[in-house]
Amino acid sequence: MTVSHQKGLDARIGLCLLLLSFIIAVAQSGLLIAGLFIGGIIVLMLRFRLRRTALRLVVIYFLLTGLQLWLIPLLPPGLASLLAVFIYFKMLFPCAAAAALFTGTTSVRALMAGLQKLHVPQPLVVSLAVSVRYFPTLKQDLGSIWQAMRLRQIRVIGQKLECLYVPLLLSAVNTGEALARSALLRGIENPGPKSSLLSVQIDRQDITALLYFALLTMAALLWR
Amino acid sequence: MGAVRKQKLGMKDIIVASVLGVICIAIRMLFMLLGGLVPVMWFASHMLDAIFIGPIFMLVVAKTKRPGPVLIISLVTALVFLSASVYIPLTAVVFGLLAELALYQGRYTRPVWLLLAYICFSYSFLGDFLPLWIHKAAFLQSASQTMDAAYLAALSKLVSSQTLGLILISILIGALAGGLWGLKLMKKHFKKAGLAA
Repeated sequence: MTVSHQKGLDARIGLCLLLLSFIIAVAQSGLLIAGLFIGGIIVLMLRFRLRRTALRLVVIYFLLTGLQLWLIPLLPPGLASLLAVFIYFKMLFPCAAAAALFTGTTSVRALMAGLQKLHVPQPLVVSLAVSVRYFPTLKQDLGSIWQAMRLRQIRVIGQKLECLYVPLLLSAVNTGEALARSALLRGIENPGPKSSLLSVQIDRQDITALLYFALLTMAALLWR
Repeated sequence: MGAVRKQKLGMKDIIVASVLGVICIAIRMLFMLLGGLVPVMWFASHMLDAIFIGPIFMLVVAKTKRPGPVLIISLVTALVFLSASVYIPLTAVVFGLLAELALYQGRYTRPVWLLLAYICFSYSFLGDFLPLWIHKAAFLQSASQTMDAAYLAALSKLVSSQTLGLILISILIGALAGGLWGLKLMKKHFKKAGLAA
């Protein structure tokens, strides 16, 4: 039996990065630390071939910075305060960058294996995995219901909501029950330890990344 | 009824609740994104979440009737939105547990307790806003690097305890409306379709 390896960082290191990114965002130690953090994330994205995400991240960061430095100061206080939420988003940008890296490189299987190694309760691991996997199906279901509603020319908003909700929830329950039956047949309720085809281990690049971001976090806390 | 209370949460319940929980997450994500485009909408997003999640919550409770799924949905939502605010897991655990307690007290069927549980569940996502109030000084300091005093005064007014109070009241109203709508849909459609007893 071949054992496959994960694409990006170890899921546990990815979760640590998310936590460190929040500390950096809250510490508000200045542009240099935030820039070094986001720069590190972009380097990792390029290393794991997430070029498009990295480019998108850089563009959004510069847009938010431009909004904060050049547009908002020119606006009257009332309008500027309405746009203040964007400054808040910029404050939390390191978290968004770390989350983009995590979701871009960690597969559901890798996340499950990592969480199992962390001894996270099985119900929570299963629930998280089902949630991530059901998203594309939900999109498909919504599209089909929307088309059927257009075909029947349903235009009243209250009726529209009901016509959207009832089939969507009925379909979700049926899908959930089918998934549950399949999982039960595959032995999900077996109390024995679960194994994985994915090799989950912390290697040199994980340790290097963790050290770099941990040092940055310490610097952010010291130079507040 | 005692038998219902003693039954353990099975994997089937967890999977069905998780699938329905995805719709809750999608609704929260939709209004959060709209809030990003129209900032005032961000403050109203939790009220809208509470209105639209009502039927899903009632269906989850009716399908499982056991302790656990509501707390699990709260926790999974918190994990998915962890990058938005680290306070979400905290409010998810506190209000998720309160919702479970209310459901247990109402034996998963009494409408008043169902509504109370849903109100608690609606507050479980409140951690999304908390950093703005808890770290108000850091937020204002960040803004002060580029903004003038008049702007900062307006900003400080926006991030006030009165606004937080208004948000809390709006969530309560939204949860009541959503809960009642959920109970109505349960009676009108889901019970007839045989999805819940």
